[in-house]
Amino acid sequence: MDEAAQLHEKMLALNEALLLGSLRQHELTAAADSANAQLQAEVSERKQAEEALRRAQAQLSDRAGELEELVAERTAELTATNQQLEAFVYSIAHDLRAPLRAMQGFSEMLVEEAGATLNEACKGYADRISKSAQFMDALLIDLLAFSRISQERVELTPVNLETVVESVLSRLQKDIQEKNARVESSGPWPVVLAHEPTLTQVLFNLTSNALKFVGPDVPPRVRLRAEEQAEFIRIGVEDNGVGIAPDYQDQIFRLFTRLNGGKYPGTGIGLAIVQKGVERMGGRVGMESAPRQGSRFWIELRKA
Amino acid sequence: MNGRPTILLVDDSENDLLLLRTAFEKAEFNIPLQEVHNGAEAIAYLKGDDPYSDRNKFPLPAVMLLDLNMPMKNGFEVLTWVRAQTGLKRLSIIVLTASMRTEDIERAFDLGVNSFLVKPSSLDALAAMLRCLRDWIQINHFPSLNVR
Repeated sequence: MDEAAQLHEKMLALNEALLLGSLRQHELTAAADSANAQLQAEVSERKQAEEALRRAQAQLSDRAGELEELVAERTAELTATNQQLEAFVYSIAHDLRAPLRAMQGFSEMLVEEAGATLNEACKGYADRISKSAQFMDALLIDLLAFSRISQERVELTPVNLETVVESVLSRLQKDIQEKNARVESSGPWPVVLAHEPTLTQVLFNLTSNALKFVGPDVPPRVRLRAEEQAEFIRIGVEDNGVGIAPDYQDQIFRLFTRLNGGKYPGTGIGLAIVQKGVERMGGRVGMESAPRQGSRFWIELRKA
Repeated sequence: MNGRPTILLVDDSENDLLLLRTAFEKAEFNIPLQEVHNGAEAIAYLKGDDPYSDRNKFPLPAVMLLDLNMPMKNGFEVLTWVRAQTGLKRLSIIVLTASMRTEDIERAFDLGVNSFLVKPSSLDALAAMLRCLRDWIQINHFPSLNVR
């Protein structure tokens, strides 16, 4: 009987163990299920996130495409405007100057051929026609130069300042002689980073101004020199001219500004060309002046 | 080139032609002048098409003074046409225009022009320019053109 009791107990113990085991199995299955569910939730979340990312990327690329289209559209508009402007300048160069040439030429012919029979007043009228046409022509030429300097492709290369100064002075030789001027151009002239035609035009305008704006019967004295600074070369054009009052110094570079309208001929475009030209070459421009004490205009360009 | 060289003036502006004629006189330019009024007429003249077929009356020029901005065919088109004709390659062509645009100057030389002059607005300056041209023509040796 002992044996039966022992067996019974053993069976009971086994049963309990079996029950415990089954419970554990349930627990484990539940845990696995929950882990699985969590994993699946995570996977689906991730999928959702990926989907959202894909959508965002698609939207971004759509937007980028739209932006690109917009930029292309604007560029096309700008190109068209530029072409119109170019056509406008072309028309000034070709068409507007032709009638002026006729006015000037024929008023000269009138005086030459009928001068003897014209009275002084009539000769004066013809002279006014001719002078006005000449002035308008000067205006057009300066406007063309301004537009050219604003639009031309400016590539900066090392430019020998000495060559530029020599070419400017040789172009002004007649003016210098007629005005009995003394021009001092003291080297050494360094090499600067510039666009040679633009730099030549800029220095020509500054030097020709220096020769022009002097008091009556004062022989102009002009000094050109270069000064080396840290990264820049400063080129100065100094004169003994009438000078500029402080009140006017900030408007002097504006287009069509003429401070001495009646006394000196000019179009009011020269210094605007200077400023635009220097700006296009990545430099700076400035001036110091006082009335009756002359002026010193300077430009700064990068060293080559 | 046999005999005296002729100059062919190509300009559409009656005003400019009258001014040029006057300036030629002032410059004592004793070289025969022929005038046509646009690019198409210039080409017809050089080809010897009607009404320019009589070479005694309309001799081939040694020098052509060519305006750029003209109706029918402009100066650039004339230049392109002339330089494509084997017989006219040696014709001296001088652009005489109002334009001083860099693009026009470069394009004209690319197309084979020999010189580029800008019309001055004063008659005296124009006469002075033509005097230089007269002197240049007098010292220059012109080749003959291989056209009938």
